[in-house]
Amino acid sequence: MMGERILLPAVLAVVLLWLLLPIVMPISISFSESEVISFPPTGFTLRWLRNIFQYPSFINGLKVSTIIALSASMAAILINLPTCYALVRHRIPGKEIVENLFTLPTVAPQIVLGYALMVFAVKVLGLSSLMGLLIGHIVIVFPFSMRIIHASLVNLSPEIEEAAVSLGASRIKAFTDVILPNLREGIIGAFIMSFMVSFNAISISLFLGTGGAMPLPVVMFNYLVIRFDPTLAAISLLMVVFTLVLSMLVEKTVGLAIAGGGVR
Amino acid sequence: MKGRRSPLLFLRDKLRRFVLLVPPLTFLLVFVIGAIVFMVLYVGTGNVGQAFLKLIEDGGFQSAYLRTLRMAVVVAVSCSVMAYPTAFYALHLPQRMRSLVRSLIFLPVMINPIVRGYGWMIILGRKGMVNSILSGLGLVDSPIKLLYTELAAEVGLIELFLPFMFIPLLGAMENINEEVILAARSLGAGTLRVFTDIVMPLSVKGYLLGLVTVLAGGFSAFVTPSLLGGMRNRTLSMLIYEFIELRLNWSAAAAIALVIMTTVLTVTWLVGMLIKRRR
Repeated sequence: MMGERILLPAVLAVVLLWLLLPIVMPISISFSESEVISFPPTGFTLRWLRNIFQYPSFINGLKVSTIIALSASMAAILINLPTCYALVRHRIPGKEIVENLFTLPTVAPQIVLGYALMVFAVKVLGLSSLMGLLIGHIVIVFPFSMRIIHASLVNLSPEIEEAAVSLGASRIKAFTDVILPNLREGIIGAFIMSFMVSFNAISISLFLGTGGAMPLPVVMFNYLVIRFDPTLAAISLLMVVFTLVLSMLVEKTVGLAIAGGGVR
Repeated sequence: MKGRRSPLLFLRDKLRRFVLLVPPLTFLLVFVIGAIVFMVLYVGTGNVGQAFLKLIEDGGFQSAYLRTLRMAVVVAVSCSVMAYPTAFYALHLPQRMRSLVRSLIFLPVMINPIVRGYGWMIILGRKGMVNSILSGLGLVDSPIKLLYTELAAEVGLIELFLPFMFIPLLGAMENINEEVILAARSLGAGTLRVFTDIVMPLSVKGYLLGLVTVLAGGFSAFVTPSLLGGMRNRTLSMLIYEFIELRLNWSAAAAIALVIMTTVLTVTWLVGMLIKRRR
């Protein structure tokens, strides 16, 4: 039938083009000599790549983003390990309600959450902008981290832990010596996934990131609103390469589709 | 063994299980629910109600609300139209090809939305790809306006959210028992019939899961509509940004935040009900 042989592959081609073209585009013009964004690219220059390092906000943004992403991912794992352990291993009354509560961050839109945290954490509690950012980013990476750690705990047989305990290990020792090493892949996957989510997040940081504590995506957004030259294409190129490397690591450890499935 | 344990020890054990959950729950309750409640209470101390009443009479707000809703619906419908056949096709691909397609479709999710928005600016801009192709073919004399339109924002949003519909949909299709499809085929059902009578009804739950994400995400997205839609086609998220950064009217911003939140929760709840009824 025609539908099978032509229409369906055509739809797949359109979908792939639609999804991948906007990623390829910035790369294509990041070496272009033209001062305005134009396609096709003309000539070859490293000017835009150099330009990144002449704009201190970008470098500072990179620093802020890295610090926030590292700490938020780490914090999310430290919170999630005991939480998921309790959810998977223990019978907890009202478990469904508790599990639903943990999906809260995915229901609250980032822009709303970012504004609410700006009012609450920074203006009311008097926390620093960096602290506010950190809290916001822990909230948004939390579900990603949880999904992966939860899944790898479910796949871990409870018997090995029981064996360690029956041989005289304390519950805590069994956790650190038996469970943790077995969760290594899940923890690494959760860490990289959280890192990427935090590193790319913008809406949550829009109002929280001010002054010296402005994450890279916010700096990029502000730059793009006023200027139009290919410097941003050069940054995009670096970010795409960076993301691809991290994505490959996630794919190797837990599988991308599992790590991100269904979470926005 | 359990029977011999003293009630006190038993209670302690129960408590210990719960203790592990207290820190994360407190964290989320304080910094998600607490923050949102506080935003409403603190901002303008009680003026949010007034700001809200003023807002719903404001023409700019009304048109922004309708535009945001319209865009979310257009994006959700387009994603459905594209995701269903793609997932159905991927289902029939050999295992290795299928995982390749899945990875390729999921990959953009990992790339920063600004990078992708910027990519669309290069494609849709006055000197962009589409315009240079069109003028190269002699189809247009002067560049046509594609960027900074509602359509451009929708195009970008479809790219942003399509993977979130495709992934759960393909997952649901993979869970369908293959023998059911084979049985239908052996009884003479064509591809279309298999799709409409078997694959579609049996994958509806995965579809609805994706639909929630697309509708809620499309309704609250900020970056893509600001980069591609332009200032004239404001969405609610852009309006919040404007009220906070430019107009310094925090209570109006809080009122809009509440409107977004309420709409998103309503949509999530409605689709959630649909999912429950399917069980």
